Amino acid sequence: MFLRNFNKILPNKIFIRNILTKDNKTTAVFLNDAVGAPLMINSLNQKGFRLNNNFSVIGSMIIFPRTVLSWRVKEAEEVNAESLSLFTILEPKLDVIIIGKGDKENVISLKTIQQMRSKGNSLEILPTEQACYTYNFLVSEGRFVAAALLPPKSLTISISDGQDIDLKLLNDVEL
Amino acid sequence: MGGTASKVFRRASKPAREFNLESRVERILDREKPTPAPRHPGTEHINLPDSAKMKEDLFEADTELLKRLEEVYVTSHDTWAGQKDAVGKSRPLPVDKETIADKPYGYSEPRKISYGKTTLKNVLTFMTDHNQSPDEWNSTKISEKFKLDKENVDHILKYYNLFTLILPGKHKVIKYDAEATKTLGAQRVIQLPAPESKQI
Repeated sequence: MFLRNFNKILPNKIFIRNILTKDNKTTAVFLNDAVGAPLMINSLNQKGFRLNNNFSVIGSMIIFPRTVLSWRVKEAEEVNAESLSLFTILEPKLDVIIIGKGDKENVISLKTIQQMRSKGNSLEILPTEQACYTYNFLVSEGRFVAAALLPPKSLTISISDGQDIDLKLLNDVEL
Repeated sequence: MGGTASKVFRRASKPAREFNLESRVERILDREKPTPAPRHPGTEHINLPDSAKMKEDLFEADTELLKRLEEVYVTSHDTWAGQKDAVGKSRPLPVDKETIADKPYGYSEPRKISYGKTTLKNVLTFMTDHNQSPDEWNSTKISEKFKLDKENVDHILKYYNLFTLILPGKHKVIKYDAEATKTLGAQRVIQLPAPESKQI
């Protein structure tokens, strides 16, 4: 099944804070929407990503807490020490480098991992969806992390995603 | 052996010792005023104070002691006032109360950058320069200026680039933080013209 205009919406981490106000109310804040929040990923599809500042990014990207760069890599096979060279020259060193390898079955060569490890960079290789979750989680904690993400070719659709599909879009569904 | 014998003896004699114990205890307790225990020969000569008089004394104010208390007067001389200035000159208290600036690129700028490394801010700078004039800002010049390996710079320029930010026409207002876009790494900003009629 291929859904055109379908965006996989990522679950938003909710931060609940209890402030002693006059009414003594508890407020819940979506971390992606918090004031001064770092760049996070709200949703993704086969073409790109939508960030929490309402910008859409087309194609592969490198996301830093405040910066987005385009990445001229289309396939997981192209991910190697050369295409990851930016991370090795950065000072201060990144806490974790998250690599969204696209689909689940994509493989990133062991040689790449070893080469990056020998330079002192730890890679976290995940399918792109999980990579987005992980990146959002880590960046919300204020860590200096970066994610190199390839758009996935297929998206997992869970039952809860049905609630997010705009009813207008259902006319465009191609089965 | 002796210990064991005495234990056995005490066990055997227990019924005899406890014979009619309760009634004997009651008999003593029923007396109106029990006879006090005999005093130790060493302290027999000391006269104990009368307890009834002690109670009275406790609840009466002692005029003599109160008179002495009236004579007491506490004064203090501020010797610290002079010292404060002397210490304050050599070790002044912090005056700057500004909050720490937010990290614009999500990391705190390092004081020292080692050879072959650079910050994200510098990477964005040389990418912008290279895109504007690729011949002038070639990898050789960049590697010399930022003290990087030429090979690394070549790979970075090959695989990474800055985005072009395209803003839609005015009918669709997108909320975004203008300050944050400076650090975003968008090189060019293209504002699309507003469409005349809204398309569905």
